Amino acid sequence: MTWHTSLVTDPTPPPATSSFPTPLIETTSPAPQTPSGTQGAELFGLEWNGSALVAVVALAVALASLLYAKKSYALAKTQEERREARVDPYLDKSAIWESPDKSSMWLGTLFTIENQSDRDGSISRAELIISYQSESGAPTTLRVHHSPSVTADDAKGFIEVPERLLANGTIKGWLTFKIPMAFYSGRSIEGMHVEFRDPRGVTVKSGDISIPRQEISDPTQT
Amino acid sequence: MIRRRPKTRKTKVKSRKSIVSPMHVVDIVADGALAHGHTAGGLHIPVVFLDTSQRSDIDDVFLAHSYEHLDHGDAESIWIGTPDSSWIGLDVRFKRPVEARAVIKFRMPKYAMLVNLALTAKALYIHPGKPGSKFSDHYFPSENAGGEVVSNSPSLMLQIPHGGFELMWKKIYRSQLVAYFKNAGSPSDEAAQKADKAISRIDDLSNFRLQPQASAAEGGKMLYLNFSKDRPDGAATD
Repeated sequence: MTWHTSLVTDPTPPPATSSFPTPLIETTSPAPQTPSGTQGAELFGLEWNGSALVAVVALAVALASLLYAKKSYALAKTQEERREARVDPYLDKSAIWESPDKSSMWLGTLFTIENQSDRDGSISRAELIISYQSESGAPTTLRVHHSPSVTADDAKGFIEVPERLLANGTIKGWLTFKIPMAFYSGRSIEGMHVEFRDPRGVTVKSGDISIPRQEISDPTQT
Repeated sequence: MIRRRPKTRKTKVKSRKSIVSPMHVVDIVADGALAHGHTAGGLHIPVVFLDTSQRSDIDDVFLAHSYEHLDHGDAESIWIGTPDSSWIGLDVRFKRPVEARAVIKFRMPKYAMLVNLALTAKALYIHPGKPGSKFSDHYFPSENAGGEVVSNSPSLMLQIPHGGFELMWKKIYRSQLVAYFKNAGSPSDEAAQKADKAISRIDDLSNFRLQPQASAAEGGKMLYLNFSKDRPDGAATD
């Protein structure tokens, strides 16, 4: 490549008596040239230089960070899910028997309750929900709270409500409910289930409890 | 430093529209009031007998409470009213042990005094009843000389916390009384005077407190009122 320089002079010399200053000589500046040493190599039909390589490396790092962040987010989400309040009740056994004074029926339910959370929880309330039709046919609900069927001194194997549930812990025990005879035999019962409440605002319902075969005596202490 | 005077703003009462199904509305068939030195600070607590002849679910609420282990229940209540204030309702949602809803209908101005007493004492006794029930059929002076009153009817005491209705009640109450006296033939000025006089008398009665007795033997002294049907401005005391 050669440098082109051209000098352009005014062909008409200024008159000797002109009052104007002598015009400057106009020149044309040369076009800038890329030094031959900075030219990149061609790859994939593209011309590669240092900046392009830096950009590609940055893209690769960004993609790797994205994948890492995605995995971290999934892990954090799983961990947070495991910290959420969980109460999972499983009904092992149920029984029903008459109270000694014949005024009520006891419904006993043997529950295994799991806390699949990484945080401690508790059962603040356990209620038997009986859905029935009132005498006028209106759907109504009776709530009966848990109370041990035997005196406090003899009570063994009962879940005491409120009951603490350790993280990833399980408890097992009886929940017994005293149903007034007027509601048990005098109303058309449509369904029964137990409702558990955790103080963090979680309310869990057990599956429907079908009325079991009547026992002769209290089976909770056998 | 410029100190601004604290603004004395009136408490705004937010009201919202709600629709009440007629099947939830329960009429009052008999009423009265009870005062006991150890309950509600000795204030009169109104007693209402509800017409539960068509509401077996409300009967079940009373039945469930008759069992000792189910005697502690939960209920939420809110005062409601019709646009023309022809009646005021106490919307009670029973949560435990039996879930049910009852809108106790206080016709105005007939039962205005009951509303006034309930707002003052923040409580209300309710009984199941049927058309034709009378207060005196269910409440009797006891045999002993302690001045106690006994009842043969199951009852529940509802706690009614203030929720803002008490701020608009006085205005409703006065306008109802004025309308009542106008309908009775009094001119406007005279009706307003009579209404103010009636409110003054009723406030005296509402704020009357029966002092608690020092000894347990005397602790059961009670005062009960059996309201006559022809009011609003009068109460017949038994």
